[in-house]
Parts: sequence; structure tokens; C-alpha cells
Amino acid sequence: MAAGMTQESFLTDDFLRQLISVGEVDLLVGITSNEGSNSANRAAQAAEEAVLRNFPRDRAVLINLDGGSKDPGLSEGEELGLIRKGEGRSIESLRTFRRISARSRNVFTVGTSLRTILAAADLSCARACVIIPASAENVVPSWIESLLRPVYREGYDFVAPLYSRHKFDGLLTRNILFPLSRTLFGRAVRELVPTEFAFSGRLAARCLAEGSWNEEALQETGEMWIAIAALLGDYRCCQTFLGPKVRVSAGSSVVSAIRQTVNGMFWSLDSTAPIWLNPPQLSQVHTIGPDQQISGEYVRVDRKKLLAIYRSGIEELSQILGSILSPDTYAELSKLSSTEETTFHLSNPLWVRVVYEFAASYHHSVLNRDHLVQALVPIYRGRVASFLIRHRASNFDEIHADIEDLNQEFERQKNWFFDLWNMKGQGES
Amino acid sequence: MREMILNGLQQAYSNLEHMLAEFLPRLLVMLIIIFVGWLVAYLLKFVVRAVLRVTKLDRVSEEAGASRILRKADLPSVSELVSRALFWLIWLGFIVVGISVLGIVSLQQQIERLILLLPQILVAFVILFVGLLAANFFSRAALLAGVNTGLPSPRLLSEAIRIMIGFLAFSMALEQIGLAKQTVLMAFSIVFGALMLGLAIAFGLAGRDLARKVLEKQFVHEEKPHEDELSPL
Repeated sequence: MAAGMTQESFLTDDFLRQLISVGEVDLLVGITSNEGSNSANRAAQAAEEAVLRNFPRDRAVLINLDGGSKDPGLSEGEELGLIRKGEGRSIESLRTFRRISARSRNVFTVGTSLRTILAAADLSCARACVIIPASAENVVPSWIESLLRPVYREGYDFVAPLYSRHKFDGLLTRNILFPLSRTLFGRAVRELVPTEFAFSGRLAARCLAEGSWNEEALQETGEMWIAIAALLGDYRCCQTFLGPKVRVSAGSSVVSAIRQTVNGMFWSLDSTAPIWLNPPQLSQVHTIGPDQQISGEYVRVDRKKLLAIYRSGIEELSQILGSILSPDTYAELSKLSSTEETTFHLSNPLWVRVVYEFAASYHHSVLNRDHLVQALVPIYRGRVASFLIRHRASNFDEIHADIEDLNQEFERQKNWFFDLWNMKGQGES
Repeated sequence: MREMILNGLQQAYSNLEHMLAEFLPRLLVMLIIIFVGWLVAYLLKFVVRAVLRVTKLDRVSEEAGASRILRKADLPSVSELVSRALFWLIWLGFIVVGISVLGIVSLQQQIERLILLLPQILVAFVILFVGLLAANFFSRAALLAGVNTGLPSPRLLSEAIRIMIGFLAFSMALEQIGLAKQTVLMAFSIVFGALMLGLAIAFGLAGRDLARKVLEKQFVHEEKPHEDELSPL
């Protein structure tokens, strides 16, 4: 509560008034939207049904954060197409179920949305909170129940989702975010940038108090920072299987995805270095349901274009890459760029070296940090091309074995990375 | 006649003696002022350099790309450069004050003109430096964006941006010190106009097909296939 009181100044008077009228709650469901109220309807209905069906004896609040709202003057409850009394709802809360909203004509960043929900959780003393984006295509009541239950009933502090994914989806997560967090933080969740996740009031209070919420990295990938705070802190974490995630075509968003998530990851490494430089023992995060499910339907991928961008990047960015990577690593990448498509293979050891050298260069600020992260994009595309070529016909076990080998490689090169991280750092001080 | 010469010589000697008696103490005062100025400037240089190192200005300038420009120009680090500039600025101020003590009118006038020009030169240098930094930053941003979106000649675009911003900064700096204002303005207009005209002609004639594609892409909205269908996250 104390942390929330100090943070309340960024909440609007109207939202604060609504929160005070709600009082204390047990469960909090936050729905984040940046597309007006219509997109929040589906998620809100699923949330209400999940809470009323599974937690009817508990006090709950549903908060709708509506950024980019066309009509910020709508009153409480008007905005959501919630299941109203007598409209086919067969169950009702035995205690209180309230809906409140914060709207703004401005678009909410991830950081602003999260900070508002954390403050609301802290002020209302919520024991378990879940966040659902209104844009989630196939959110169903069981997802919300699966995320809330471990926190509310089993005492977990952070619950990450697990989905059934296509074998070529989530390659950024599988090639950088997951192995880095697993190696350096000692435990990891597969979805480090979760769209839907749950957390305890205890974790919310800590994140609210300690987060540098004005930092760009937190504004863009606040959810990853919460996950990392939970993994590095004394918090019980688990991941729960939700089912298939609707595939969203990436288009040209690879660059922005890397700029946001890799920047967020490197920034988190920088700010938590004293903790992970004394690496804890590797421990497993408890998983509810199957660990991974991979599907393999046909997807259209332009491997030639990926390779063309890799080759152009290695040639055109030679000066930039030369200041980030060691001469040996750059020479290997350069040699690889002249390889034919059929034999193109960016190996796990080379990829791990690239990622570690980029992370260390980010820490030492050898370049503008946004430019540095952007310079990783062509190499990542090369890595993706290599992965696609290698696993065109692979089954789940073969892909799993390769990913596990990559994780082991991150582990093997860890001490070298620590030296790299500390080397210039000592020179500077 | 002889007496007149002797009187003249005596007068000249007494004038010289009088002038020396008046000038030497002033010269001494000037030297003292210059020496004290050197001490003060040196001390301040030392303090400022230490403060700048504590604030890690060099790291920031390295990140912004300023250090690379300085290295290319064979100049020291930013903190060293700022502290040295401060040293010379302070010492020059003391030297000017010292010289004014001598009371030589023509010298004083020249120094006044120099003093009037100094801030302009300083501002011109700052404009040039910031301009080169901006040129470096934006050309690198363009290069990265070009490579990541798969543009055909990203380095050409990047260098064009670097040259344009650099040239703009250079002409602004020259205008600041009032050097051949008209010539600089005309030269800039001619070069910029020629560049744009050249690009337009090259794009329109040599790259007719490309121009059509670009315009179609811009104005004809038709369903286009995605780069790929993979979701990175």
C-alpha cells in the first residue's frame, strides 16, 4: 500500500476515485487496450465469466485501460460489453465484482499500462492480478483461470503463459531471450515477453516501488522486466499451458520486435548485473500442463531475402559491426556471408558469441544503444535463415535437441562472457 | 647648434627614460596578470577535466559518435578538449586584460576586434561540431534502416545524408563568422539545387521503372504479400 501511495500522483483523479470506491479486493483483472472500447469487449467478457465461474466467493475488480479512446468521458461500466444481469448470465458473484476504467485520448505504452495496474493492485491490496491485452485473439475464460489460480490458490508470485506454437514461431525468444535468461538468471520461463500473465500483490508492490518506469526500455517491455524481477528475486514462478496462440503474421515487425525486446533484455542485464554476475544454480521453473507443443503446418518464408539482408548487413555495416564484435567473430560472419544457401549454417557457438559480444558492447556503450541493437537485425536474420534451412523437415525432437544444444552453448561460454562484461568495465572505473 | 643637438638628445633621453619608467611597471603588471591568468586557467582546466571524467562525458560522447569524429580529426577526447578550450579561453581573457594595461591604443583596437570575433568563431565551431555529430548519427541511422529494410544501396543513401548535413553545418558555421555570406549562400543554393535536380533526373530517366514501382507502392494500395509469416516472439 505504501508504495502505491507514493505512486498515486500519476493516476488521474477520476481513476483514483473509482479505485477508492472499489476498496480492497482479492483479484484484479487488467485489460489493456489501445484501440477503443470495442476491442476490449471479448477479453472483458471472458474475464468476467472466468472470475464469476471460478472465484464467485472472492472480491474482484476488472480494470479496463483504454488508451487512444475516442470518448474518454464515458462513465464507469458503459464502455465494456460485459455480461449484464438478465443477459444470459447464469452465475453471479456472491461478493463484489466491480468494473472500473482509465481512459485517455493518448495511446498507453506498455509501461504506462503496467504501472497503472500495479498501482491499482497495490492500492486495492489485490492478492492476485492478471493482465490480458484486449487484442488477444483467442482468449477464453479458462486462460484467465489458469493464470490466476496458481497465484491465488497455490501461492505463486509470477505465472507466465505457455502456448502451442508453430515450429518456426518465436525464434527471437528461442535464440536470444530464453537461453540468455536461463543461463544468467538460473531459471527461465519460455515466454519472457508474455502478453497474458499473472502476478501476486507482493510482486506488484515491489515492481511498483523499484521500477524505473520512465526508462524507455521499461516503457516498451515492462512485462519482461516484471518477469525478470520475479526470476531474479525471491519469488515463486511457474508457467502454465494455455493452448494454441493465434498466429500473428510478423510482416516487417522483426526490426521493431528486436529493437524493443533485445534492448529491454540488454537494459535489464545492465541494471541487474550485480545479481546475475554471481550466478545462482540452474533450477527448473514449475510447469503446469505440457512444457511445449509445436505444430508444423506450412508457412511461407522467403529464405533468399533473409540471406540477402544478412549478406548486405555484413558488408554494409562492417564499420559498425567492427566496433561491436571481436575481429575473429566478424571474420567468421564475413566468411559465412559468401556461403551458398544450401550449405549456409550459422552455428550455435558462433551465434552465442555474437549475442554475448553484443550484450557486452551494449553494457560498455560502444555505440548509440538503439543503433547497436539494430545492427543485430541482419545477423539475426542470418540465424533465422540457418535455422529454417536446417530444420525444414525436422520434427519436434530434432528441434528440441538443437535448442537444448544452444542453451548448453550459452552455458559453456558464460564465464568468457563474464570476463568480457567486466574487462572494459574495470578499465573505465 | 651643438647645444641644440645636445638639448634634443637630452630631451629624447629624458622622454625615453620617462616612457620606460612609465612602461616597465605596466609591462611587469601585464606579465604578472598573464602569469596569474595561466595559474588560474591551469587550475580550472585540472578541476574541469576531473569533474568531466567523473560525469563520464567521454562515455556519452563515445556513445553519440562524437569521439570517433574527434579521433578522425586527430583530436583528444571530449573532456580533454573542453578542459583545454576552457584553459585557453580563460588565459586569453587574462592576456587581453594584461595587454590593455600597456595602454597601446592601436594594439588595444586590434584586440577589441579579435575579442568581438572570438564568440562568433566559438559559436561557429560549436555549430560545425554539432553538425558533424548530427551528420554521423543520422547517416548511421539511415544505413541501419536501409540495410534492415533491404534497400538496394543503403551506403549511398547514408553517405548522401552525411554529406548534406555536413555541408549544411559547414555553410552555417561560415555564415556565423560572416565569411563571404553571399558566396556561401549562393554556393549552398547551387549545390543543393543541383543535387536535387540531379536526383530527380536520375530517378525519372535512368530509373523510370523504379520510379513507377515506388510511386505505385506509395499511392496504389493493393494487397501485398508480407515479408514472411513468422512471428519472432
